[in-house]
Amino acid sequence: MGAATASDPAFEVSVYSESVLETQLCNRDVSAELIAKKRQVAFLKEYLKHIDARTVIVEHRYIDRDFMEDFAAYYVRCFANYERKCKRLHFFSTTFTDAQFSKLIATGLGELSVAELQEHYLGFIAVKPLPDTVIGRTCLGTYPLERGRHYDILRHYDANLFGIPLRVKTLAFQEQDRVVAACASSALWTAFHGTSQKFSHRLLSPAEITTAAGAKASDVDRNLPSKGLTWNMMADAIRHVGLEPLYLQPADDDDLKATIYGYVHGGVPAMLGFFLHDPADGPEAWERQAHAVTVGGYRINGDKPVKDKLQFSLYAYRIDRLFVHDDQVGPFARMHFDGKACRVSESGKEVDRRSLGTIYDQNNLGLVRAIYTVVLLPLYHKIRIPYSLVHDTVFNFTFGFLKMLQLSQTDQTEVGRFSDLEWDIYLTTANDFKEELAKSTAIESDRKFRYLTRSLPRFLWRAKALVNNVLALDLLFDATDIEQGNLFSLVVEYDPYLAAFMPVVLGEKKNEALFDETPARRIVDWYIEAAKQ
Amino acid sequence: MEESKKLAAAQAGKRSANKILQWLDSGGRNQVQQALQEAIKQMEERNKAREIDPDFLDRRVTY
Repeated sequence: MGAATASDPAFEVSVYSESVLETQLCNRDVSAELIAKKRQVAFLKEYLKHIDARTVIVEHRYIDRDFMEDFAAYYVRCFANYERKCKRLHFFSTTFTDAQFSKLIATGLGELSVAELQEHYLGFIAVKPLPDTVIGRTCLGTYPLERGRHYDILRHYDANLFGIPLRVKTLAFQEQDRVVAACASSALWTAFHGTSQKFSHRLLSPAEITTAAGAKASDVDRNLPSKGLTWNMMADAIRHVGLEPLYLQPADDDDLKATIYGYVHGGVPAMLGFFLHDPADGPEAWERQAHAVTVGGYRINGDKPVKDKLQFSLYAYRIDRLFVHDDQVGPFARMHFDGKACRVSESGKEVDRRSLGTIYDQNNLGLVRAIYTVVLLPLYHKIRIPYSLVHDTVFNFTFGFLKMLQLSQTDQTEVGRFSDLEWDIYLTTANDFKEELAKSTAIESDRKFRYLTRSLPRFLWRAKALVNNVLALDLLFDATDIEQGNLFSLVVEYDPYLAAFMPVVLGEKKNEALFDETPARRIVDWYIEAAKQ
Repeated sequence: MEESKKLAAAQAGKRSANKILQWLDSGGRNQVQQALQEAIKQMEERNKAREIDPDFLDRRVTY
């Protein structure tokens, strides 16, 4: 054990095991029995096994900023005496002893090096000194980026362990304490970790989020202890940090996948609302179990285009899992698209509701269902155009384009090729788009030069058309425009057939009315304007 | 893609474009517009399902 004093050590180093984790999560108010029953603990055990945790350093007296804010906002004024310092557990995928680590701190020498610790650092869990809800700020590295896993909302977290700088790339998680924060505050707290660097705003503690959310809510009773937030209160918390809330209700599973992907792939965390339905609770309990989580990733499964019921194909439809920070489960917890409807009782009638599978019941995955409702997005104020408008524009354009090819029977080879057209639609920035375009070898240098030197808005919706997984066309929409504006910024044709075809057909003035009364009119207008230049 | 294939694809694109322009002039434009009306209807149905009940937003998220 590392000294501060022999009886009160500053740290201890242990070989990682599930029982060590359970022991270290206990405190004077929380028994090992209670810890062992927690769903979050079961999840973390599994998670740490997957990321190959081998050694744990327990930092005994850690001051966690988030907990300190919560402590100051509530716990310090309780009659009962709560601790203000946390423990912090640091995990490593290498083995070393207490003596080796102590020698490294004291001398900088020995068998263990700073570089080895940094290379094998897996992240940390801050353990709160509270009854029951002990899992504080948790920053653990993600599962490996394989098997189609994507984590788009990651940032660096730095930890300094007795002078050793450590860093992990992840998205912070913590469980609600049910006092200063319920699930909605926890979901917002995670989402703000995803937006604070990207959109430059201050990070709030859970207590500060709950207080900000309730500041304008005159029709609800006291903020603290928190009884949960309404969606409108969550929107107020988003405004409080200088962002704009956007609610979306997905029409179906495909729409949910596409909406989430559109924003999350663009680096914007999405909060997903749902009702939890556990068949064991009966068919009516679900409406009392409203929950919110934050989506930080997804899994792309398969390499073939998937079509929706309108025969439209989006890359996002290949998603079969979401990875969510669910304060009742853990970080990057899986939610499954399994296409199963959920039969529940609503106003006395049996109805089938759209739902996702959850891992709430570890012994029966997918049994407890998430009946999803709304998606709430914390957006930079300049991102004004919603995903749905871009989707509808691209959908109409594709429909018209394919109809032209099919009905005219001009070229059956191309009809066949483009019938598998797949769109990849997501939010991006002009800089990211240009960086990718600069690397492209698919277009001639004079066009590339023209596009790279063209002034573009900071935020763009990018619709990439893929034919047999090869980029054929880029449609770029100005995400900062107004909905009734033209909002179409640029077309880049990579496919030589399309590069010859599109300007001739769509740049023809007589075809101006072809897409009239559809959002795709904007694309035709752009070509007609380009033909004039 | 090889240069020769690129050139052949570009020529095919031009040929198709010219044929389609003729076809659009000979009544094809109306056919495309009619088909698009059907697409708009389908889209409107989806957009209806996207409408949020404002009362829902005042319900507490408590789990």
